[in-house]
Amino acid sequence: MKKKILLLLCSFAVIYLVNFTIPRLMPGDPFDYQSAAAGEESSTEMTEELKEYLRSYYGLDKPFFSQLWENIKNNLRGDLGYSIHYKRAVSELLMERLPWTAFIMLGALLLSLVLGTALALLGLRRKKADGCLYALFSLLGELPHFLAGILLLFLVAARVDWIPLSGAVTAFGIYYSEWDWVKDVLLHALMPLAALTLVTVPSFYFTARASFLSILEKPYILSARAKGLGEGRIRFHYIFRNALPPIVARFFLSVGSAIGGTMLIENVFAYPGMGTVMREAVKYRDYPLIQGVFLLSTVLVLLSLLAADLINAANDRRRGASL
Amino acid sequence: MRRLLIPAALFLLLALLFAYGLLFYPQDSQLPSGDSLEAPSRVHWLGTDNLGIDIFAQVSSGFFHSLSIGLAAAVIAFMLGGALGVAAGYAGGRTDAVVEFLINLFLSVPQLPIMIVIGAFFGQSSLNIICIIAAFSWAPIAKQVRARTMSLRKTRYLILARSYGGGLWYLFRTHMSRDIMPLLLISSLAVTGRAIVQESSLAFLGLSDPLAKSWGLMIARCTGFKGIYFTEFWIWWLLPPVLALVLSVLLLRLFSRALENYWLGKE
Repeated sequence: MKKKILLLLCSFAVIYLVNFTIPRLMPGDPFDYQSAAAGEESSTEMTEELKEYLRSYYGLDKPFFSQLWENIKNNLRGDLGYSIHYKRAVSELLMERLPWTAFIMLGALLLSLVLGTALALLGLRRKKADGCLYALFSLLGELPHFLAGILLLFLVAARVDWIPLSGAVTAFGIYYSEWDWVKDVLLHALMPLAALTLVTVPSFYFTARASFLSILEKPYILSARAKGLGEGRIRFHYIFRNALPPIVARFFLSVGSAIGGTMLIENVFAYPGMGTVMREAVKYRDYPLIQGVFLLSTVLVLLSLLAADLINAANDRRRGASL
Repeated sequence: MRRLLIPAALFLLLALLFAYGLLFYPQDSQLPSGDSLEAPSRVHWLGTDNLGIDIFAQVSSGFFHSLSIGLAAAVIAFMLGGALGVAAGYAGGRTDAVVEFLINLFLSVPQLPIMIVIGAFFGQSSLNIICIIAAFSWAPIAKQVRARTMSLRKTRYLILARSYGGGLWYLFRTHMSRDIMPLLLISSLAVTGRAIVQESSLAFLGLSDPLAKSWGLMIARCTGFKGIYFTEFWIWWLLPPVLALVLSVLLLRLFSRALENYWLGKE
């Protein structure tokens, strides 16, 4: 376990360093870009002196290691820098966007967890349903995230009047009660949630199915049946509870791909999360913002990998103790 | 066997159709050849997009663009994953520790965000996209190959061959490739399909080669067209690239799964 934590810490260090280095290896800088993107943001061409001044203002002219040191010190204080495009603190921007992304991602993962487990349970009882679901999910699992979003957008959202096409809340909406606001948010989240769930359900289904099948072969199930325990008790206490840890671990392992999927789907539905802000940041070569988004998503993914490891370790220990 | 042949035959059929579209179909995939947003007709099999460019021609050239990116990424991942996996599994010790760390590192990074970061900074040529996708596809292959090599290393025939002084390349060729090659080929084939998806995802975000007519770019341009949902144009503008993408990825996946069953005899 210690080795795993050390490994994750090392991974984090490497990713941090890469994340810091890449933008500085590239030709050009935001000021070149901003002065060239005429008509979009600033239509004036910056003079060399102005660019020099801005570079020193943002600290981009210092030597590499002193920039790195500054960066680490600032990040530890929770300061992720200042967005060059939005002209606001990156941490503030991300804190505004993170809840939306987390909402979509965790919501979809939870939905997938429940749905996948329920369907796998159903498949245990009905072999025919299991066959159909297995084939269906094998196909569905191959669907790219953004296509799931686009298909839902065109086939469902555009046909049904009451489903909004984009955004997270009605623009300039007026709410008469808290409940109204919640309803509006849920309605806007419906399509992104559905799109992400559609793509993530298969992996939960397969994990749950494999887990259930492996538990069913265990001798203690046979002994429980031989004791004449009720089917409901066997299902819940013997099968379900023992099969759960790998499924919960799958939840955390899925965060890595789900975070990418959320970012893509957000762009389909113009949902104001980290995905849309990332795209904007890339468009305007906004280093601090790109680094911030990437750093935040990396931390989230590494933490969830750690959680998955902890669950697996605890499960192994329990298994070991019971043997 | 039949499960193996059907997806392969269908994929070949798809490739032939798109090869016709690329080579003999009279419309160009880059230049306008009709009015904008024409409905499908004899002249334009799948209609035209907002610039009057034929859609069938675009989808056809997109197929070869996507496929070549997928295959190129798979070849690089194949070589990298195979070499590192065999080296780590065979050498053990420090080499193994380093490779294992690299594998875990690449497996733990969230793929799409880092692809966006690198894609944004390294520019948007097809070559860069291939390198990025390959860089994040070799790790799972290396992991499998490493595990397999480690178990092979303990077999008696390998210990014997090694004690006679066989070098790594000789041992690989004569004793290990039979076990490792199928594994390597199957996982590389899976990379091809995933690379196609990843390329179109990046293209959808506007991070692919803007000059290549890739499916992701077509989809992005169509969905970016204001009010497209309320017209019927999307039926011939959006559906062809979407269906082509889904179909080719699915067929590749089915093929690689059938190959897995056939070679490795899994359930």
